[in-house]
Amino acid sequence: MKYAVAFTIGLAIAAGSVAAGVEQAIDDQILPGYAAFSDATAALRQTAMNDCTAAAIRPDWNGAMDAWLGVGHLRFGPAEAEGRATAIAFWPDTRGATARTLADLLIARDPVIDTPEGTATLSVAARGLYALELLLYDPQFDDNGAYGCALLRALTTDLAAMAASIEDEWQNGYADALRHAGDPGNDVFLSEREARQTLFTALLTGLEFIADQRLGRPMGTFERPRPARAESWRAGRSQRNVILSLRALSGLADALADSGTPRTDAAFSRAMDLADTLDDPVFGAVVDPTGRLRVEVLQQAVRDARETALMELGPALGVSAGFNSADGD
Amino acid sequence: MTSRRRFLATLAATAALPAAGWAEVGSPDYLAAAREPDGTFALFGLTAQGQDTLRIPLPARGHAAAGHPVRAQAVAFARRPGTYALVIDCARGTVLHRLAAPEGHHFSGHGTYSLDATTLYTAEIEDATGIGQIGFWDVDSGYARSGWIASGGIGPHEILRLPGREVIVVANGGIVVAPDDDRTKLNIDTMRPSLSYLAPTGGVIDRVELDSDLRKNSIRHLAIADDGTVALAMQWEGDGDIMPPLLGLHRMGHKPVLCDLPGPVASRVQGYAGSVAASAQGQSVAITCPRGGLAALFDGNGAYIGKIERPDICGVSPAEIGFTATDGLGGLSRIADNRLQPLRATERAWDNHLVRI
Repeated sequence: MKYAVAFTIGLAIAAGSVAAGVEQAIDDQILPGYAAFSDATAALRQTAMNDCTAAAIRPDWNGAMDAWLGVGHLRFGPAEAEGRATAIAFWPDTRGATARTLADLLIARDPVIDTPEGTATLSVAARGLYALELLLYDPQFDDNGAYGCALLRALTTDLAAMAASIEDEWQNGYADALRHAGDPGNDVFLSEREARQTLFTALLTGLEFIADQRLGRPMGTFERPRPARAESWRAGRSQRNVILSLRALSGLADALADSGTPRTDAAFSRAMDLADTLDDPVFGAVVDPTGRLRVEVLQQAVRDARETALMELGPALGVSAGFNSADGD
Repeated sequence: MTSRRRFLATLAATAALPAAGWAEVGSPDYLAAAREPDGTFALFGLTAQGQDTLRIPLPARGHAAAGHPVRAQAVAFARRPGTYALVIDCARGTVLHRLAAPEGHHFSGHGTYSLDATTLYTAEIEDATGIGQIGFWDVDSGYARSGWIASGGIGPHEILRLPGREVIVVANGGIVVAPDDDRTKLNIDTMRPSLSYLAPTGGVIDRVELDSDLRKNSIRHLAIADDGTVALAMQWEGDGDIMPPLLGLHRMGHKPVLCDLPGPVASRVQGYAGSVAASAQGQSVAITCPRGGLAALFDGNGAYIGKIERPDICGVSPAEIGFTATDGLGGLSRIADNRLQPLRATERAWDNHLVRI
């Protein structure tokens, strides 16, 4: 996808802390984050090419997952073009589509994966990090011989290609569109406020995703906790996903607020402390009341961080949760 | 759009109506309410290219509007508590009539006109019970109250009329709200939303309820394709760990088709669809999900085909090609070929609905 942006060379960046916050988010968070994800997925692909046993691939898969958690909350622009974010991170998988689609592929030994173009036509449920997690960790997919090896190579190649495309599009057009929001000819961001709103929305929805999905899904209800719904429980890293995504969101909040936002900082610190010290790697403890309460306390702290950012950082940026999204109808 | 315009223009000429027609106010394709940068509210007429054709100040935040099919008259509903609606002469910018909700009732915020455009229908809710009714207002008698029929359910929200037929389609949302704030929901555990097809005589032509596991999926907004296929957008009131379909497609006499979002998309939208639009030929349907900052697109069979990203997107209506959408950041955009193309940036915060005239 091309981001047609016409802007004047040498145009002064608008003065003020807000524009600086957008610049800082791009330079300190977004571009390095996508570069790291692109590097990590390239390494994962290379490893799979060299040795396609699960034991060999797992460390690099974890590295790619770590890198994704640094950028997975940026649900706009190149990551969302061509449905990439959904194909990279098909979770939550409410209907078990990933396991079913992978099993079908393996039974059929479908040659569609012989080419990158073919792999890109697979159901999004059978692509990306979470499909790879199943192949690498679930006993159901333990030994699939030559086809299983080809599938791992195809999926890691596909993932690395998507990561490279996202990085390339950010480097060659999209970052400039965001930096020069509101300039004549910029048809991606029509105003500077849109740039701030887009990043702020990514921050808020990233926190909601942690509270509602990463923590909320395994919590289920008090009567019926659902630990098997935890993200990445097969790889034993549900808690780690929460820690790393909170860290990334905290970094984004810091970048956006270059004047002091002490209450937001404190709320993030508290949530990150709770996440770090939880000692419940796959949220298995949600099945007993005490363990569930600890996860619930963390969930509340994440929601507090969202509310605090909304109250303190939002006004500093001149944006809000949204005229329509905040007021049901 | 053009042929429909011509038909209506002919209708207008035949009836020899004295009031100004839409052509006299710049032929807007859409109506939308917005908050201005200074905090005041107004109703705007917009062309398909997103240009203003009219601006009428409103006393408070608007809800949806209804445009008379022929005359340049718009009905703007107050948002909360919804006790009045204003009939606005869009040529002069004046309030022609102030409609008061019947004693003990409030407007839901949506209305539509009869096939011959002589009657305005409004969705109304009894404060104490949530029981719904459709109010009738006689256009030629200065919008005098001329009757009502039962809506067939609790908490009706959007109403529309089937194209070319005198059948009123009602989204009975099923929710009873506290009379004093219109927000506190009182009956979530027992709610039973429904879709009703009503004759103006009060006869129920068809009525649809979702399966019992979807009883907490409030049917709130509607769009109708030319062939009478109704697209219904829903808002989930149940547990947050369930991600139900937020779009249904229904044809009278058939079972509804429910349209799922892929899990990763569903997880972002918080069980909330704000508006729905169907293309005239029914080959594509869009729901807006402001809480996820996206609009989801479906084909005419209800299969998900993709999404576009836009913070606080909510208003959506069919365009000549694709859809036009509005958002709380002031943007007006075109959605076509599974992509979003901004048309115009304003300093306004566009309200929930973009209504096609």
